[in-house]
Amino acid sequence: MRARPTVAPATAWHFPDPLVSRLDNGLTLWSYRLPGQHVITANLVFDLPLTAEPAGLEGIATLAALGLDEGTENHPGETYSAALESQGAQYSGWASLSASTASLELPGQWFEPGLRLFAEAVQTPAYADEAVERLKSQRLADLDQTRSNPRRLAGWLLRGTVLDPAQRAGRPLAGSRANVAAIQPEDVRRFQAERHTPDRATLVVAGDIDPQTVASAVTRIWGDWRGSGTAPADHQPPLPGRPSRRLIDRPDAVQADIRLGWCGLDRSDRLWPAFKVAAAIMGDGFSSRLNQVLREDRGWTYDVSLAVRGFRLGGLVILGTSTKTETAAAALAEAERITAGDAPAFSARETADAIGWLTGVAPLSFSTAAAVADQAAGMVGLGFGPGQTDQSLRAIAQVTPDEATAAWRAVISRQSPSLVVVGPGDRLAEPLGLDPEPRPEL
Amino acid sequence: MSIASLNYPIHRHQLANGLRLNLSPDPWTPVVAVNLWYDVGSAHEPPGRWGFAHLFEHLMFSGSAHVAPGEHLGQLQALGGEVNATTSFDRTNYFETVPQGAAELALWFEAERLGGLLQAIDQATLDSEREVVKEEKRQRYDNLPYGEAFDQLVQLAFGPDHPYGHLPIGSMADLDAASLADVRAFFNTYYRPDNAVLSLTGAIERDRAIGWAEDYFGDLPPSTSRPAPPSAFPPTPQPTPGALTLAALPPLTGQPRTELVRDVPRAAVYCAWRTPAATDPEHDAIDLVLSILADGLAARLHQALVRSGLAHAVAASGLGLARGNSLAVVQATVQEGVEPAAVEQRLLDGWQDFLDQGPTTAELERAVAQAARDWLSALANLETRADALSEASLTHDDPGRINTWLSQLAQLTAADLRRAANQWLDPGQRATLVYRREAR
Repeated sequence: MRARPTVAPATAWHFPDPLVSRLDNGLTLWSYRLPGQHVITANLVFDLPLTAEPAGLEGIATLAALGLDEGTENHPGETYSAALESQGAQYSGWASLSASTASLELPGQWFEPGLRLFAEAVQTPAYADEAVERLKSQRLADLDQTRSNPRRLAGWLLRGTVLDPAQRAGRPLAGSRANVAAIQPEDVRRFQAERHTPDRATLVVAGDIDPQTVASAVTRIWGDWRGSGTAPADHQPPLPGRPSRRLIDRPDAVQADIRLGWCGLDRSDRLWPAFKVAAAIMGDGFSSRLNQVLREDRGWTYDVSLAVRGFRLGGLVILGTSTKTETAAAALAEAERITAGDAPAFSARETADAIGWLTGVAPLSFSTAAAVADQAAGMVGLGFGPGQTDQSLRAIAQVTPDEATAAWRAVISRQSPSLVVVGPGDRLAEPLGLDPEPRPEL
Repeated sequence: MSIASLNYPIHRHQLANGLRLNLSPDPWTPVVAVNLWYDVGSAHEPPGRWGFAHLFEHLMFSGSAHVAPGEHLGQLQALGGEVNATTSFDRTNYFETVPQGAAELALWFEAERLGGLLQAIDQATLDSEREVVKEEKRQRYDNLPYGEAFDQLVQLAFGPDHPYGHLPIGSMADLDAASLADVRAFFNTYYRPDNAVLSLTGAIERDRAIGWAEDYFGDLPPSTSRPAPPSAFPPTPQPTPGALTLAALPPLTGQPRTELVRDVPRAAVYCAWRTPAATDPEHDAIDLVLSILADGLAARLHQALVRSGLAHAVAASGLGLARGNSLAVVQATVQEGVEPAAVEQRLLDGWQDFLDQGPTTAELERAVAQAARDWLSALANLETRADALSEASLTHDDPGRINTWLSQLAQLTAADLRRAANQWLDPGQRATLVYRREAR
């Protein structure tokens, strides 16, 4: 066997720069040229906090984004989808806490006709009664699916426990059963007309296409889009909920799904880069403290991770794992010990490895048009400019072990985590010291 | 760029020990994808050894002669690399996508564990990884609604004794019964350079990459003994020594059927058909048929089942397999208050209509355009492009297929699709799985 080769230093890399322009109607365009990327992604992002949803109709932003490809004035019903699909295009839509996104992916050869159809959907969507009722029914079925899937259920319940449900951020982003059921087709049509407007929109386009070509096509096709929204809604910071520990009974489960959650930070927080590094050391990747103990040393789980989510304001930190019921209490105790606010300081080696991972993987993570467009759209939705991704990577690269340790302690030691376990109540109640609750309706 | 003019550069090379090498340099990203396919999957497992191929997906990260447990993953991740492995019916895939300066190290790690895994593997490692695999099975199958559907479908379509009749996750009893000697024997049989394809994409230079492969893999010995095939299904005559080939089974007869009552959110209906192997020219026609029937809001079954209010969703997919047959599955999630039988009947009516009429020109064009986007998206990513090269090489013996496949697909006619559908997708040749909701 030949000797182990040395590693050459990584090549300098930075997130691509877009050509930024703005149409007279207020639509902002970020256009990325990515050679060799034959599939183009176009993400239309609306600055649209969920606080804009009318009271009692939460989930309407999700329905509006989902239903844009359900027909237009010119292409009713499935004829719209058929036209889009014949150009190799695929539509998807979603709503986050701070933004709604309509997204189209298609081969470059069909860019302009595809963009025309995309504009048609945003400017003259039909939202026929039948389509909205069908989408509602699918959303309700999806809620039942969430209730049946322990991972999804645990995540769902944790959000409303860590964050105060009195705030929008602490309630389900796509709406509860009662809210979704109450939404009428006319509500969706009105919401979309008022809130999907060019003055609040940024179109991100990425692929192997000249940004000037994109800019002139966008001006031609989207230039006569008119409308300005009603008064913008506020981006509200989430408030912490009351920390609690819950055991949700799923009688036939063969595992306990465990979630621990804390309030986190947003990307504007000065501690964000150091906290990202700290969280990676704790639970992102094979060498993380959690993975080394729970999976590699003990063989208790297939999967353990600590995820950091930064909203436009505030954030969430979520530890997730699953293990057979016999080892649930021990795994939970180990996870809490490892992630305690007074956990041992991070070493220079741990810090360097975490920084190496978080910064070194960027050229790979952002190597496709879809990945660049999604990252850029994410930054638009969080209120940042095009330089944010690079700035964040540079800041992460500078984090010291002391800073990472201090950030962990500052965020974690000042709060008690909330716990949600979904599993068989009769077998988990005693080892966990918790009274099982029935699975709630969502 | 039109779909007919893909031209990713491809260089082929074979080492004296039989290792096949595909290289596809790409100037745009300072990253290299390393992708190894070993010609061993769950189909190679004889009775009593179910789950062995997948177990190696775990054991291969537990250290080797010159690598400590976890070091392979840990060091490459710390350099910004993504490292993982997957196991299917036909092959086991190991891959690392790394900054270009770490590409040589990634190759060294792969060669090191191919040459030196058995020097490091011990009872403690086997015991620990076995427990992790059990947790994987609980998490990904046993603890999820509809979690046993796929296993039921392959049993219905192929029978439990056929090499494709059990899932790669395998039998926990077989894994419990496995001794260190059993595991070593399995490794010795299949983990050989002449049983593997290595593909590299990204920031590589051809001659240097070939030099690395020669340096690190060149000394590893080829197979000395070849595997015995799984017992119950004797293989057809083998074109290359030791390669597993299976006779193509005819379409199903007798309409096998399983009905399960479970705590699931909605009733569901699955139908499955045996279809031609991925290497058969008709396989692509079948995939287009499935797309026309169920993909997108304009698809026939979406109209018949979802817009009509009988089902929440319908989906169809082809599981492309390399030997003898593949599998086609269509699945519908039943609306509350609707009898699964009504959904099944409407699904089969729509299916029969297609068999009678064939696709319209517009349907065929849409399906080809959608397949084009999917394929171009897969090739857009260095990691999945390397994987596509390994598949094209190991399954089709034609790595250049990544450039030519779309234009082949575009030549299929409506008559081709109708003929393939009538040959392989007759409603009378299906297997059926129905989930009913437990009364609560």
